Amino acid sequence: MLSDREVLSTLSMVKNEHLDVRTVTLGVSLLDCARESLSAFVDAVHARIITQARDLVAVCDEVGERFGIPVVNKRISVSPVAVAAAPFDARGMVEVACALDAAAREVGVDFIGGFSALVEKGMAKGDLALIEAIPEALARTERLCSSVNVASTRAGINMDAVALMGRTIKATAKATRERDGLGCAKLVVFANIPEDVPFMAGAYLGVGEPSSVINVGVSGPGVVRKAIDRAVAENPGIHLGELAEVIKRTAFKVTRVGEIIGREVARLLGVEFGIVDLSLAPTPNVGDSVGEIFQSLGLGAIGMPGSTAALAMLNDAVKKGGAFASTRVGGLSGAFIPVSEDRTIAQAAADGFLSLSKLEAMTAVCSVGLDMVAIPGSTSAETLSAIIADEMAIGVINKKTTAARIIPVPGKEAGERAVFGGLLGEATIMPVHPNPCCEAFIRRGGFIPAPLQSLIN
Amino acid sequence: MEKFAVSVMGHDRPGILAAVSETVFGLGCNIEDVSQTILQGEFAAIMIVARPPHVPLAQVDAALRERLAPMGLGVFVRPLDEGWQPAVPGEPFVLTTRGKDQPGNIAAVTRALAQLGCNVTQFRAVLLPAAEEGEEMVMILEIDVPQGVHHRVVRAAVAQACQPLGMEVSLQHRDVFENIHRV
Repeated sequence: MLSDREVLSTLSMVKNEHLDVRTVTLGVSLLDCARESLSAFVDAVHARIITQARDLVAVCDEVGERFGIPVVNKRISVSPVAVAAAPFDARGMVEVACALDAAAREVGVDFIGGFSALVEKGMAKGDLALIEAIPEALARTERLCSSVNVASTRAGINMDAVALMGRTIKATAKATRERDGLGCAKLVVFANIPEDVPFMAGAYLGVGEPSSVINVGVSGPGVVRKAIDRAVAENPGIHLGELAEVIKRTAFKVTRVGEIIGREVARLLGVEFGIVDLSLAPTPNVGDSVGEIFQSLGLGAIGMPGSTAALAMLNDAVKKGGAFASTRVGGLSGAFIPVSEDRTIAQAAADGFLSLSKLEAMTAVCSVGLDMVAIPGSTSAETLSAIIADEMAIGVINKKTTAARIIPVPGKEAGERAVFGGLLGEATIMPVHPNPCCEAFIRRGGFIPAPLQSLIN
Repeated sequence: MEKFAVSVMGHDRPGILAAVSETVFGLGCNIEDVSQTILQGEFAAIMIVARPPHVPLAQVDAALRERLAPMGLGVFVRPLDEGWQPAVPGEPFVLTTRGKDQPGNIAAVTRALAQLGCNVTQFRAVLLPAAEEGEEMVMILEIDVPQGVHHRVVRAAVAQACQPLGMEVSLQHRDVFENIHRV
């Protein structure tokens, strides 16, 4: 028999605190679509996605309805296109991108990820073709997402790739300049990219993964915030250790929801269940913000002194609660701090509490990195690369995933607003150092060697 | 051993269960299942009891009445029909409604469920103090939705029944509650 409290608290989590399953992502392998001609390959890719994902949206809606927990986004991740389409040139890669986008539209998913390359140790022909194709591919498509892994703890940082990605981001911004550089919001540069992330824009299906798999991204910043608020209301003198326990218990509940829905969707689609990604991912909705959690913990705004410590505590508590709740945890699993996608974080940046430097420091303890950060369109490619390199270094040295999803908004300067729309939100453009002298450093290229794995203090 | 059901009801007070169990024990009976609750001071219990064949049910009934009547308690004894089969369980859902307390709420919801063949296995109605005037009632019904009836149909039927009464409705699979709250 269920108790009144159990039923009422679950209802409250769903209705008032925005508990949902943020994304169900179907991973589809394209590796056996290899064909000699581009048109045959594109046809095979299209057919594979349509066949595999035809029922994805309907099944997610049905399961979400049965459990009373909405599945907000249904997405697809595919094998890294730089591998699957390795023989083709950049023009061919753009065609593949368009085919992926068309297939995504046909099956009704909002994003398809995997226009990706893994180049941490060097760039093969397919990798170069894919990276060259990114600006046009993202400009000509609506739902396609792209990611490039340029660094890892085992390989070090491929600074040639970092330099190339700085130029690629600039070109992508230019190609989508009418929409504030929207293409860059769908392009991430990674260190230590996981193979099973269900969240965009970094989702792709790793080569070590099954042919098709369901990965689930749970969310629930609103639930965590409300749980903290309730605990503080009951005991205004509550200390941080007790609040960490509150966050842990809440993360447990949120993760259980993700696992039950993910397993049911996988069962109905007849594919394997992969992982639950425990990340707290905000949306631009009021009450669905990671930034608000900082306020509930007692900080005036995210970005103020204390923010890194608060984020470290939040991230760790989320992992602890989630790890106990699910047998299959993966992806990024932590707290996202995407500036434009979180109303409170965007406001803190607009108010000047959150600078690029503070954001970078916080990424040492969060689950992703510099995420959805709008910067002046005049920022040079080398400066972009230098920002990326800093972020990659944090990931490589700390043996964690970090990423940079930065948007140099064409024609706009610091203090102006960039609007990306929908889940991608909007943000005030953050200033970059007024006179960055990093060109010589970036132009050196080469590799920053992999770090020592012992003597780790 | 043959089985019978006993239900007891009256003002709550210490000693009710002791009186019932001592009486049936004195006749060689064994209590197998008990469910008891108290609502606004009123006690109610139902028990499944096994009796030896040589003790007639009428004797048990008489003994219980003799013992419980002075305590102001009503008692009802009923033999179990061994050939009777309970309804086949369907898929378990939890239905909750929330709205102003008013006559007819429960009738509207349960009528809609009955028309679809949904069996209510647990039911609680809780009054919550509302922010505004009047009291708010939350109903929590654990129901079995029979095979062949889609949960969407149940949700729509209950929502339609609740709409004129201003009640909000939620229907969720029971597994969600089990998974969230229980390790």
